[in-house]
Amino acid sequence: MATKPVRRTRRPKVALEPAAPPTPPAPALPERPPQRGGGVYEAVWSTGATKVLALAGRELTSYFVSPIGYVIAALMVPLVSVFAFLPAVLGGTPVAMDRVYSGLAYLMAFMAPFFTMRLLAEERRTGTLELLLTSPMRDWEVVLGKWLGALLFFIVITAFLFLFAAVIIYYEPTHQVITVGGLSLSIGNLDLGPTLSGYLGVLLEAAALLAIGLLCSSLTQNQILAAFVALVVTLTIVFLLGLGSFLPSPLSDIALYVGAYDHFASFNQGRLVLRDLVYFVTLTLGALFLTVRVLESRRWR
Amino acid sequence: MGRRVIEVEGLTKYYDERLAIADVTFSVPPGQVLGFLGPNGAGKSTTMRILAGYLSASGGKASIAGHDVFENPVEARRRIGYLPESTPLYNEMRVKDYLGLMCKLRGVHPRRRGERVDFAIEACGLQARRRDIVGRLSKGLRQRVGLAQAVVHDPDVLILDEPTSGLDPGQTRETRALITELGRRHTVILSSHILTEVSATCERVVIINQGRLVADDAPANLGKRLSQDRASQVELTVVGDRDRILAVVEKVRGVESVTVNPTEDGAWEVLVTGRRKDLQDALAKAVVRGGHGLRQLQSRKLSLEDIFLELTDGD
Repeated sequence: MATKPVRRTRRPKVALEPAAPPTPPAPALPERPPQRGGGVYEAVWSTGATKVLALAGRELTSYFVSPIGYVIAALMVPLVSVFAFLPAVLGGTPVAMDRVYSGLAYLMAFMAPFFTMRLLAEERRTGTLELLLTSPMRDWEVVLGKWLGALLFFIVITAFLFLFAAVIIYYEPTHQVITVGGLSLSIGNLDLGPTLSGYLGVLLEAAALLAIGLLCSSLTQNQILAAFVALVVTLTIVFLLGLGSFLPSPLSDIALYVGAYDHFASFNQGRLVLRDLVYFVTLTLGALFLTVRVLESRRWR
Repeated sequence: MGRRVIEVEGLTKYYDERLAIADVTFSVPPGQVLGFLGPNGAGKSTTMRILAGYLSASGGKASIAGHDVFENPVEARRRIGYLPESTPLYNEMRVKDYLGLMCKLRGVHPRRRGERVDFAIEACGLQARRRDIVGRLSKGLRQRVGLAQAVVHDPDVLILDEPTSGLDPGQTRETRALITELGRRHTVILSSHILTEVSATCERVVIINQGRLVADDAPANLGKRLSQDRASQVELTVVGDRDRILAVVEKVRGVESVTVNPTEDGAWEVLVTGRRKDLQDALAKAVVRGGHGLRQLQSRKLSLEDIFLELTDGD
């Protein structure tokens, strides 16, 4: 009586459902509206540009939706202002942007991994990578879109540089008078050449470091790990190899060439040297290429 | 029209040494809702991921609307809407922005984007959630957003991997109804390990086990095919002495096995398996003639579940 009934049925009790609900037979579905739009859009679409820009745009906005974007901004702006801009301005005599740029160039070695750690690692962790890679995007379009999103975020975040430039122009101790359309203006003596080439240097360095960060992010689904590995690489490239000048002669040349800071410094001094441009472009494309290969490799698991 | 929207031929996939699917071949005509059925680990997700272009195959061919998924992946992927098992979505985005992004990534013409997003939102019953953040939605609503992103670019084929897993019964029913509705406009492949789901939504069932196709038919036919020449089961509730009941029941011609369990109110639940058409009648007569009280008698139909286990059991 007290024994609990033991059901020895091997199989669960589920009655056979009635046959599938009678779905009307769909013969060949010819009535669907044409899927594709105009030929112009098709031509643009097939280049991949729209997809890359759409993805980059979404990455850019997601920086501002998640706290990471604000954390990065809250660190970078004050650090560059206090440690690079203020000393330069308070030092008196001709002020230029080069100290701001070099401060930023050093800082990016620390910050770039935090720009990129989320990009692919998070997609891999949450599984959204599967949706992204099953959209009609080629792997390089995904990689390019992600990288461009990070670079755009860098450009937005460093918009304060223009403010610095404007401040220098107005408060520069030495002024020059220029005449624009009959109006004579007294303008700060900011040399436009190095100002622009220095910015180009910072931009190129950021592009390369972000590509390296993206590569690290593609290797793992752990953001922290991605950031850490990227940090090791970026610090090595920017700082450690800069110490190469203490090495004996052939080694020091190699170390200084592989290191990023010298190439940046050349831009910052207002020199546009092809060799430096080639360096950053090679580094960027190399890292992006490897990222594409990492994404491709998942298909062969 | 002999054209097939999905054609899979001899598809084989190894993960390192381990065989995931072996020589899977099937094709789906336009507009069909195909159920992909199998125990966990049978190779359903692998097959679907290959079709969706996420994994490569070790051998064989697959094409979507005439575009080979390996040779022409971008065109093939443009024609599928895929919902992976875990419903991954960009949690920080708003529903309509998310669907808009998917339109852009999948090449919907700018002039048609608004209309397509509206269609997907309406079809999936998300009108009230247009502006909600995806990450704050309930599991059932997330699933609807997942379906909405799969249809938003008006693909020929929907590939839905376990679309109702993890939903409560109400949400499951809603999702099934939605899939049935979408099946009127799209060719659908959906996978499941739940049989009732497949028999409720699909016109055709493909059963896969250990990477191989073991059956391919309409759900009703599968039942018919397997129930012929098969033992039937009858469940009785009888009052009386256990041993005497057992003796009476076992004497009935055609009975193969009997199990007896006590019920809570002192009666016996007797489960009889036998090979005889009028097994129920014979049992009822025998029990009553033996002087026992017969409280309940019910024949057990061979369920899809039984068929499924039959096909996927053992070897």
